[in-house]
Amino acid sequence: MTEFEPRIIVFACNWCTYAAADTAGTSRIQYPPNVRIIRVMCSGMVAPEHISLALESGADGILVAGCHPGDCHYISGNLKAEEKFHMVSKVVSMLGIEGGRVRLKWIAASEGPIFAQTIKDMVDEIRKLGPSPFRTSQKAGREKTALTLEDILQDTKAYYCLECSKCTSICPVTKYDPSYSPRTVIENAALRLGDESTRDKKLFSCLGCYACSLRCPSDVDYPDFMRKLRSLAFVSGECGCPAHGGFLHSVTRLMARSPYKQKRLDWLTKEYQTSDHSDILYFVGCIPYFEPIFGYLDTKALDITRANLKILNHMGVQPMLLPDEKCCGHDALWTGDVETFQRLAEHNTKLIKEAGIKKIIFTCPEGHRTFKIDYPEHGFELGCELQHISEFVAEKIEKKELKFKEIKRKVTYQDPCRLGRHLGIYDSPRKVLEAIPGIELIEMEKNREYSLCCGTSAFTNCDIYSHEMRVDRLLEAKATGAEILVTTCPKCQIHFKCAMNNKGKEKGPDINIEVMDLASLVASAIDS
Amino acid sequence: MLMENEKRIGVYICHCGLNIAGTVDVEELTKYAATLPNVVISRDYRYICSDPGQELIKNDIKELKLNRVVVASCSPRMHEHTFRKACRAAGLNPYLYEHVNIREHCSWVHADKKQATEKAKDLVRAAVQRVYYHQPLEIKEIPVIPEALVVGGGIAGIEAALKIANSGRKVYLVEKEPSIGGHMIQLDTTFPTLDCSECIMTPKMSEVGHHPNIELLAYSEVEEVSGSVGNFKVKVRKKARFVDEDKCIGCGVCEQKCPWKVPSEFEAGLGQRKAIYIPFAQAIPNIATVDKDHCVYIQSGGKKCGACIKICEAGAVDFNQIDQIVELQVGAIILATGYDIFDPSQILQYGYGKYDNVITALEFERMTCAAGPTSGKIQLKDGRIPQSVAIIHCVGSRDRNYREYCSKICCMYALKHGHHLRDRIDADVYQMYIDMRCTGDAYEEFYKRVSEEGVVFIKGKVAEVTDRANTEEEKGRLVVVAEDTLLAKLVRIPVDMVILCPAMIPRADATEIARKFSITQKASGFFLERHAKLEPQVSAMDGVFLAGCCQFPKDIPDSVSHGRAAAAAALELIDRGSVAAEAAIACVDETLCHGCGICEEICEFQAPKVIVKDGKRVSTVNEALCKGCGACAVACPSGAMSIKHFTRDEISTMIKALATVEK
Ligand SMILES: Cc1cc2nc3c(=O)[nH]c(=O)nc-3n(C[C@H](O)[C@H](O)[C@H](O)COP(=O)(O)OP(=O)(O)OC[C@H]3O[C@@H](n4cnc5c(N)ncnc54)[C@H](O)[C@@H]3O)c2cc1C
Ligand code: SF4
Ligand code: SF4
Ligand code: SF4
Ligand code: SF4
Ligand code: SF4
Repeated sequence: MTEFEPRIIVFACNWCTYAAADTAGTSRIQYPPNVRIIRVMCSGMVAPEHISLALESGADGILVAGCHPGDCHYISGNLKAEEKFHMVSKVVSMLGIEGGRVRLKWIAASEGPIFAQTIKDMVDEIRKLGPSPFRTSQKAGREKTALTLEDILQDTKAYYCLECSKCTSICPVTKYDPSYSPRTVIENAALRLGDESTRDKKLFSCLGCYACSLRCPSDVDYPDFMRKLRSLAFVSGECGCPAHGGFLHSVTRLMARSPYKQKRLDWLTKEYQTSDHSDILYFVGCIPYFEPIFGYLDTKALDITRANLKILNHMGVQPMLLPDEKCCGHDALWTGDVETFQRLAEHNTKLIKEAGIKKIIFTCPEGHRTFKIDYPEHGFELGCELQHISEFVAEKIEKKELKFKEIKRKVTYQDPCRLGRHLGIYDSPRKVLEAIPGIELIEMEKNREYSLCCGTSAFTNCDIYSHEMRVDRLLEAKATGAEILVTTCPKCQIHFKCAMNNKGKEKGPDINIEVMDLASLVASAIDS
Repeated sequence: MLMENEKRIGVYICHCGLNIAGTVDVEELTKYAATLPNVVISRDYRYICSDPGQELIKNDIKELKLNRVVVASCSPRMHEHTFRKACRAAGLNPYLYEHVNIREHCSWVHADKKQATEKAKDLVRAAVQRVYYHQPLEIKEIPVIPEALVVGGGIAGIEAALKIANSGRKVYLVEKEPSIGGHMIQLDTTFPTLDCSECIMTPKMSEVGHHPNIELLAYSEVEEVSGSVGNFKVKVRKKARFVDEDKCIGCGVCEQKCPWKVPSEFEAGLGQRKAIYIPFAQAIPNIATVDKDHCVYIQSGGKKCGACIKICEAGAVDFNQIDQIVELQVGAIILATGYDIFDPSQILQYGYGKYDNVITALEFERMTCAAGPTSGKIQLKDGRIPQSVAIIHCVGSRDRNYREYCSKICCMYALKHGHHLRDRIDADVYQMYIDMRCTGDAYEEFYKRVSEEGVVFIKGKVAEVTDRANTEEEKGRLVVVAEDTLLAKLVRIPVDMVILCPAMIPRADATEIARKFSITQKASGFFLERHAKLEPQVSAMDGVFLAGCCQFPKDIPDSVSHGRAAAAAALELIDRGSVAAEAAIACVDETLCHGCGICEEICEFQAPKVIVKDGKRVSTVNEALCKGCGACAVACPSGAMSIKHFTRDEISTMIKALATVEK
């Protein structure tokens, strides 16, 4: 066997580090040939998804390098790079990947010897770490699906479409973006325009909100149809317009293929009781990853998990938390990446079965829906009871096991699509809200099955239309006179807070309202 | 027939003589490139940057209908623009070109032929895949404001300003001191010709003062620079002199009356000036300045002194003056901020600041100058004439503990000082040197002449200057301790005076200046030129040029040439009339944009702005302001913002091509 030769990707800024590598060249300073340099104008041009993509592609080491602070050709690009890099580092370390593989360094144009030394050191260290496990893992989207367009049309009853266009007239996306129509998507596909229909970026605009199929006279499961069509599209390389540069999807793909043990429970402090012997599992989901990624929105995503544990502990439940649970696979599945989904589902199912879990509690409706509907559909049987925390609390209230202190606030409630239309859970969250003395629940105009989606699903095609949808929804929430918009989905919260994150001088309508997860509200209403 | 979207790529591999071909198997690489998708032609060539090399590419573009070109050769920092130009000449948009660096980043840094060739293959493959995604970009020409700014009025800045002004263009010359002149006006004579520095300098200075095309902003500093090549906006702070420039006639009566004495900067601390002063007789502008830190009137809030107000017949003294901000718009900027002198008191063993008769070379210049504080008399602190003098070279230079580089001119002025000491007072002179570096025109001859005049040369770095006497002869004198390395013998030389030759170092505020003008510094702290050999007068920032010692220590002739070279570069830019605006800049996909304004907030150049369009808020990018740094694209949450030529597809393709290790 030949010795392992590390492959190192360097993102070098044009003005300093790229020039430093040139200087090393002109001075003929030798360094190992393991490095491949990608020239960027500024280190601040290196986005998180570039780093994660390099990892996915099998790079054993990655170096982001630019000018020393104060020397940036663009004033502060390097400082911005550093900020992003810290975020990526947190995610990388949560994934369990060795920190030594991903580095940041300032190397000035004159520092040719330092450039060469840095590469030497990195090659040495990575040689010790060994090859990246992602080198050999199957890349997402390489596997052809067995599905054909024909099957999809059959399976989802799309062949029975009457072309009545009820779906299009109810679809919230169409309302904002008239160029999108579920009916025409079906029509095009049925006319054997398969190739073209999978190449249409608009295919990724559907929110999977289920507003259409609940009304379809022909029982066409449009969201399912669309999802399957996306899986065809994904294999041919189309993935819509991912928000955040696709970083979240990339992290999921890494997670799905990673042999590393994650470090996802660092937030868990002693004040919360968990047990390795409990048969009740709290499935945390991706929240620990959202914390750094959406740090700039001040989402405090982990407040939800902490609140949830406080509630469970208060009710005498010391749940198990799996230190190596992975993403449920929702976003992968809904963006057509079935292979990634399957890897995740397999991993989670195995872990949960081995742990002897009887009941799983969720704070994320997507996880709930995915475990409940998609896992069995893909042959992953968990065989345990699944409950959203709102259901759990509602049950305790009914049994009169839970009492709240008074919170004098007017609130309104956002039904997340996955909890509402997908799982039919409308009452529990309302029951919980009504049980807290002082809370006045005022419904928005569109509620329950008529509720309006937060506008983005699976972090894709988050366009101007989905933004308008969010703005309208927030205006609707404000119109109720409520002080807090309560949701039961961590992602709804992120998307809403994003809409309110207005940095430009040109401010739109005032959409600011406090957004809070039901779990956080409940936790603040229980006496501890 | 060419299909509409068909990509026809030409790949050119350069041997660069043996520079590349010596390490990379160019033949194999060329064959390999031919197998890559969409590659229509793959050729190797000895020197692809040569005219016939470029012709080859141009012909292929025309004959083979190439619409994408990849050249693998030296660094793109060297030749990217050459090949872009060639593409353009053949009718291909220059942004349909991709450059691969297989010399600086490959053949020159790796010895193993096989590995270097493999690496080169990867780099070429990535480029071929990336060029596929390149889009033609529109190159917009933006007009150049036909005026220039020179910062620093030493000899380099003066030369640059005069050249530009003489060509008929307007120049602003900003000098932070009350007068222009810099270090050169402080010198007595200049090596090797020994002509009087003042005599050759003052005509230049007065020419600046009177030139109709030069607007001199003395006692001023640049506050802020914005804009870019061809169109800089510069804010200059004109510091209050407390003397009305239009009224002051430079008679100096105020100076005579002012009772408050301060060490004179011009005299290198050897003499004194007043709190209101004209730094030296030939100052340009010849206007008095009040040093507000030492003026009793200002310090007492107007309660005390005020002698100057009363004495000035022109009524020029005006304590109500405040700093003014002047806004300039210029097309080109020349930095000529010069150097500082290393503070030798840091090297304790040389006793500067401790022993009266250890002085710096600059102090000695003032001492030998007929117009100086001693009227040209070479003397010790107590007025005696020194019998023997040691001149210590390389004080703070060629020394890892202080400055690693050679300060270049000290050997020469040390010889000059040796000559004056021999010539004027017949003192014994000891040159304590490491190596004699006399590399200019007639410099070696000057060295020879001074040796023949009886100056003693001792090769050895001085370990210590002390007043502790070992012998009777040493008593009351300074003893210079060193090893004469040529004789391998320790020497203790008793002298009356020690002259230190301190390193020329970057200005104390060089980092701040570099930041203001968005240029970079070298490891030594001097300003970095774009190319050490070919563009020593050009900074990394388009439109900002370098002149004189701010780039590296130089003697006067080199400073003059450098200043003129910078002027030529600035004039080239101005006379071209327009510059191509950066084309690889940010652009917004309006269907994705939320109008959140994150881009507006993050951009350092105020390029993106959220506007309301058809009732929707969307971001727009001001193409003239955007520099294409990419910060906005990374920050944009929705993916609406991207950078042309560095799109997601383009970067991702490269990452995938280079990170994947083929099994
Ligand atoms: C002791 C000694 C003896 C020497 N003898 C000789 C000799 O005999 N022959 C010879 O050829 N060379 C000699 N030199 C070298 C000579 O001094 C330099 O080559 C020459 O002065 C360099 O000119 P310059 O314009 O680059 O820099 P400087 O003379 O330093 O001029 C820079 C100017 O810029 C101004 N400035 C600085 N910062 C700013 C700012 N931020 N804003 C506005 N203005 C600013 C300064 O006030 C100054 O006026 C000698 C040097 C020394 C130290
Ligand atoms: S509502 Fe149903 S039947 Fe009508 S167009 Fe839509 S999918 Fe077809
Ligand atoms: S699932 Fe929702 S977003 Fe998708 S087509 Fe149906 S109504 Fe529109
Ligand atoms: S709304 Fe959600 S998906 Fe869209 S940009 Fe904001 S956080 Fe990202
Ligand atoms: S950051 Fe992106 S989404 Fe926000 S205004 Fe700018 S371009 Fe639009
Ligand atoms: S790329 Fe973006 S952040 Fe950079 S200068 Fe252009 S608009 Fe500003």
